[in-house]
Amino acid sequence: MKQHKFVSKFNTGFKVILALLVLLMLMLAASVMGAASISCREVINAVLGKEVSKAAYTILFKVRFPRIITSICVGGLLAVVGALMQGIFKNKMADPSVMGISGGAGLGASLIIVLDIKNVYVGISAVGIGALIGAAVTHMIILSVIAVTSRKGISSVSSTLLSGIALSSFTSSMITVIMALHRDNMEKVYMWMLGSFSASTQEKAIFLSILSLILVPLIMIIAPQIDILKLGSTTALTYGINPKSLMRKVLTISSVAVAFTVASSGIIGFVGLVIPHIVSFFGIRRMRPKILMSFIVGAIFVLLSDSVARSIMAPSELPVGAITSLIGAPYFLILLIRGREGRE
Amino acid sequence: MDIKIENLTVCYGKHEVLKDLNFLFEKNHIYAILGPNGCGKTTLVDRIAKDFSKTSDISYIAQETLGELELKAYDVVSLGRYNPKDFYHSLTREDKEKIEKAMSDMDISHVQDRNFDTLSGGEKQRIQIARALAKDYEWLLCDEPTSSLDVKHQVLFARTVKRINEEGKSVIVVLHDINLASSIADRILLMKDGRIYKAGIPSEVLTEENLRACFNTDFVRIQNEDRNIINFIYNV
Repeated sequence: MKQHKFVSKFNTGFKVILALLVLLMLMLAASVMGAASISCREVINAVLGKEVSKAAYTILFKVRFPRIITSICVGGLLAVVGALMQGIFKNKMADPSVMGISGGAGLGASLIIVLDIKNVYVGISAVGIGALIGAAVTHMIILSVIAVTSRKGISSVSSTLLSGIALSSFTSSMITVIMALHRDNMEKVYMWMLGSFSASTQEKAIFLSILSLILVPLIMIIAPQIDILKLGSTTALTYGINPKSLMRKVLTISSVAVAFTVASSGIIGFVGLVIPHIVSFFGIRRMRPKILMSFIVGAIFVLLSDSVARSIMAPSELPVGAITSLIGAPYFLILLIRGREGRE
Repeated sequence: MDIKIENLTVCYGKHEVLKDLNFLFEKNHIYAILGPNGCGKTTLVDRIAKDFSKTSDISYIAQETLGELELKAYDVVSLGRYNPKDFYHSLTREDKEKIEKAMSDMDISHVQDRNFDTLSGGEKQRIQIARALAKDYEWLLCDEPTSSLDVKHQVLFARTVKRINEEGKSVIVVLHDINLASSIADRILLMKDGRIYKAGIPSEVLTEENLRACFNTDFVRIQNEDRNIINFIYNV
């Protein structure tokens, strides 16, 4: 894909700083937005630890900041996993759902919703725990399928993709069956599946921040190996990279990231598929800067979508998972058309 | 270090591709592997790259054409300098010199800023060769590296291989062009049905009789004694 002329002049570092500034401005705007009116000055004072009114302090630190941080982490992590999936599977259509992990998490969460368990453990609701267990089970199944098929000489790329698709299809059918059997809870399950940040808490925000601060640098460390893997698995071996163990590492890190994002805010589609492409459009193609930039752009995109989701029909909220596609798809089509593919 | 193949058998399902192969690739030589389709050439170099990359520095050019890499041509060549021990992967001046040298060796510097995915087949192949040349290596393993190259760049490749050999590198190259093989290599491996049919110096291995037995095709050998060149023509 050809990159835009206006961005091709700038180097990667400049683009990252620019994106960070956009994210900061959006964070400020999102903190100001909402039913209770809080000014920019109050937000800045609150962040800098200066004195603000008690009401503003409570709203900012208990409601708005946790929600902003959660949407940034979820958006960033989903975009990073999308970039990883597209890189390791050498497939532009890959996204976090190809591993079947989000489907597994969705199934686990749906079961808890219809069983009506409402306990909260370390800031994570029972639904979140259900999602984590669902994701873990799916991950185990995929790793065992890879282990068995690789002994038969089938490439781990195709077996992972195929088993992921099969599991995604299986879990979505199971969710449909669960919804059909529990019609009274159908709406709850459905709305959960579409994703929302309305239940963000301080604990969740802190947990997801720590998770992002651990996972993103970890992914950036192994990122250059994915560039090498694109040259073929035998070539990767001549650089001392074991493709199978790299695949296991990437799948495990991605599963952890997806499991916690789905557990905290449901299934938010489109981000993981589209953000890595948008980053490529901006001329960032090597894996390591792409991971960093995907996190920032994913964060911007989901924060923007969530702000739209909660303000457009205030006081009621739209599911953010629907908004991401509503905003993202037209923008993506415009980029596709303007970015003319082919020979320069 | 020499590469010693011992009792190597490779099966795909029930089909034996390599049958109990034994061979010693001695360093500082250029080996060309010739043989009909399906005789196990690719499997052999692929196995050497896999099995010996832990003990020797190997640079490998695979036969498979690469899918979309979404990288600039220069970035693809710079992957040649990847070092798993270097955490930051920043290119040193030495790295940049090696990348530029490899690109100019393959006459491909002019496309360095273009997207790899939009290059022609021959340009992609030259970028791949440049990537392999930019790596630190002892053995260069190439699987049909000239399949998409025009004559000018086949000659360029042949000269580059001879030069790096004079600089102390060892080379194993799978080729289909018998004439190119006889002009590049000082050792020829003729393969047939998963076995090494004949191996040795070109003038002894590349005979009309051996080639006919391997390829089921009639060849006429023309030898230019003055320039020490063996060429073959075949009837269509």
